[in-house]
Amino acid sequence: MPSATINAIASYLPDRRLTNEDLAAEFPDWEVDKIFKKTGIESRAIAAADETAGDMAFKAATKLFETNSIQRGDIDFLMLCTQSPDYFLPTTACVLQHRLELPTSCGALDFNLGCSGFIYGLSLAKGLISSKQAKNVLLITAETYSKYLNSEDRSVRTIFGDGAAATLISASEDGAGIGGIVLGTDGSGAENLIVREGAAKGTLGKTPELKMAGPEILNFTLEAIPGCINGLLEQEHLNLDDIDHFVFHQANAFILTQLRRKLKIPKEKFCINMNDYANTVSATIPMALEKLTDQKSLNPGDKILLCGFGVGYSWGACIIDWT
Amino acid sequence: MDPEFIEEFAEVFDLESEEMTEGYKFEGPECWDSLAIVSTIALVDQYFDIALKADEFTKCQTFGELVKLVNDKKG
Repeated sequence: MPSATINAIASYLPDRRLTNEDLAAEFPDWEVDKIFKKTGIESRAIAAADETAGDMAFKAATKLFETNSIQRGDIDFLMLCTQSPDYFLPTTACVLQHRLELPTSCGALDFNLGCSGFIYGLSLAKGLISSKQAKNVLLITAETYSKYLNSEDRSVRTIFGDGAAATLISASEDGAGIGGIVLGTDGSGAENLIVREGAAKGTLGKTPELKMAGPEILNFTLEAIPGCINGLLEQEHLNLDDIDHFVFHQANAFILTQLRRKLKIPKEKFCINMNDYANTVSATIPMALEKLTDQKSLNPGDKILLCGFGVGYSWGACIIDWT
Repeated sequence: MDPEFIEEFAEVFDLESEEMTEGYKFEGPECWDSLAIVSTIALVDQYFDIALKADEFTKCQTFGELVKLVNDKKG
């Protein structure tokens, strides 16, 4: 059975920037230093008015092809994780197959998940590769939450940024790569992070607005995620000490620090590096991995624990043997 | 009550720990902005391993009532 390994990552951020200074100017009782201290974010990228998640996905994937030796013709499956698709239909991944000039023999689908999306994408890619349905899966996570944000809602405007990441997952015979995975869902939390408008249960045509119950999300995270991480370690017969890097969904520094303390993970093994891209939803984990790679912090043989959690509620974690 | 908790909780309201006595009066619901709420949830989780709901503790009139709420939950 072939294993599945993360072969390459390339990300894209829109040019437009929203800095802490910009936010402090809009909300005078919000201090620049306080925003950074609590969120770990200095600035966020915001998609242009006419720039969609599909456009950003295209740019991230184009960068991946330009900076790596992979050929477009070798891609046999394309997955797009987004909650801001270009259309209700057709599937944005189908549009991207054509824009990216991928072979027509390539499978393509969208899946709708938020902050857990990258882990689910790895899980699906691993399944496709180990069952020999695909050899090279292009997983793109792309999100434009900024288009759902009420400009008066400072708590969400502070946290979220737009962006896309393209991750190539390839078959490998050496057994390393994507290891054990655990997934979880609790739809009872659906109301706590939601865009009601625009789809069938909401009012069609009404302006979509993201509503987040921050305290509820925090309680969910502190309750569900430590159990998820410990469950994964137990399943894989690993201890906390066996893991070289913990790369969690970069929600914000505040929530990450709480999780780190609760799980008793040493600071030097725990990644918080979202200062210049903010919470890009399903794209934060590949963006964090790309940054760690650029900083030469990841070595072959390193064991990495990835974890995503959020809207749904939905969560997942997995072990990667870095190659 | 753990003095370290009191110190960190006082910081949420930009106070010194000596000022955060059981008689300390919260200045109504307005004093609980989003940051104060999530900070309190996080601190109570960290120090007492209890999940407090925002609508429970934002009703507390004094710090003493909040301490009682935590102690009751701890059981």
